[in-house]
Amino acid sequence: MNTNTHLAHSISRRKTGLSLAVGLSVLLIALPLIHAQRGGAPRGGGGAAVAARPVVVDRSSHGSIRHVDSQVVQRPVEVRREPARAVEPAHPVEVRHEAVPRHEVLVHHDVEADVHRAHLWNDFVFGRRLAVLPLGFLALQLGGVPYYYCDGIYYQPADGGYQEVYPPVGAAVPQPPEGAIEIVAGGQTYYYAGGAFYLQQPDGTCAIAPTPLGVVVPELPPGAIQVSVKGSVAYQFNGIYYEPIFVNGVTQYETFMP
Amino acid sequence: MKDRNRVPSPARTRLGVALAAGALSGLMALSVAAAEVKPAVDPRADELLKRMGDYLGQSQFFSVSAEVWQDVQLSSGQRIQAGRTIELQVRRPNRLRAEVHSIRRNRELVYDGKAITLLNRAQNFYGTVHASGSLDEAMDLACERFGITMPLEDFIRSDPHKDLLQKATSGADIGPVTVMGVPCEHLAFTQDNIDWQIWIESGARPVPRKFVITYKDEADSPQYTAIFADWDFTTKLPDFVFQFEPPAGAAKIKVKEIKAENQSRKTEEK
Repeated sequence: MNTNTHLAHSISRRKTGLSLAVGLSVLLIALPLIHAQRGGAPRGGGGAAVAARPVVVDRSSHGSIRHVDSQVVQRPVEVRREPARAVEPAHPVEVRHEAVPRHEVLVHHDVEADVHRAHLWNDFVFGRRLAVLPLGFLALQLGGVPYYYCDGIYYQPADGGYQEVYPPVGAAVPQPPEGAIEIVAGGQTYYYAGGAFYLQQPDGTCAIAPTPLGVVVPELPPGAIQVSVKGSVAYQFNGIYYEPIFVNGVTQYETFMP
Repeated sequence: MKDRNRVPSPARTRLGVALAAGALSGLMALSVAAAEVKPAVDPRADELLKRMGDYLGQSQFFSVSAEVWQDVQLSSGQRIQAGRTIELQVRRPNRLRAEVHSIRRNRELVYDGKAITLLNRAQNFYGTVHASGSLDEAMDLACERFGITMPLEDFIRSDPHKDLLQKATSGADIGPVTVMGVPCEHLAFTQDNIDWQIWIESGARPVPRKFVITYKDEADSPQYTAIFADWDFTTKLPDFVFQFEPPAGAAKIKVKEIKAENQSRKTEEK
């Protein structure tokens, strides 16, 4: 009898514990539901729920409540000048640090409201002559050929002065030009500015890579020339063609070779 | 053996009590959850929003202008506002024309029941995608397949009240106020990542006069503000209003399908 009673008590304790565990587990399931339904952010372990939220999205341009969580207009990340950078470039020979102050200029692109800033490289004109180089230029050697660089524009000596030239593939600079746009393509992160696609190098510098094809860029390289390819409008810059297309309802440009 | 496993009645009672307690606590938790699911929208705010939604949704055609201002942050950290105007012409069930103007750029979007056409007036490019069905269906297709959100879409849809409140967690009637001299009722709503406010004209024509979204989950909570004017529910909008004629010299360009792009990205990842 004693054995039976002890066993019965033991079973009853176990079942009591089990039922409490069931009750608690119901609570544990219900509480996150309460939290989620109240609009609380998911916490640790809610990977799927966190991933559902778009990260880079220009929602404020469309002003829609319905699409507030839609990844409607992706805004490329723009490179902004860091105050100081202690990486010594591998190739440059001479560096002169003299900042040329410029004012930011608003440009409303046809995305409902898009703000771009004017950079020196926006003003690039192939073959334009200069008597002197801009302040803060960087001297480069590329395959034994001298180049000079300043804020996204490349120069070569010409007729006792200098002329603006297309960005040479392989040129490495300490950092992407200010205002360069981050573009991810083919598993690589490029920094696009002035018609050049920069790739970060192991030594910390950024070198111009061959232009990837099939990549969409939000703006044309400065000085791109309008051409007709098979009856369609396109633009040409440094041997690469850019086809205008609407992306998210906004005119952008896709690189191609006819 | 059977006797040895038999549980005495006091233990059975305790087991029953424990099970009941467990179930009760679970049920209580669920009922609390159910009670808190309901958005705490003030009935007056809900009623006013419904009046506006019904008024717009049941209007067979209308035109309106809106001045839109949105916060933009410069790289210096300075906050500025960028502005533009939007002209909307809507004819239910399946016609829409929207024009967006700013100082340097002009953009147009037309839906004629068969196709959605985008026009970049500044560069003289246009592109067309096939679409059909109601305005709601066309706007869903434009957003999901082509990433295009119609300007002020929330007020074009067939049931603005339902769409606007879909994710609202609270709503309040702030009280009467005037917008550009027009008496309005000011309503304020919250949801997970945004706050939004709407000023609805008082009286027989409950149209929105002002609309503000505050993006709480973006840096410095930028705002989008639309101020409406020139609501017109009387001027008829014949078919030609929604017929797209390319301007002289306009070049037709492709409209990229974002779904296809997403799929190709996934393929690349594999």
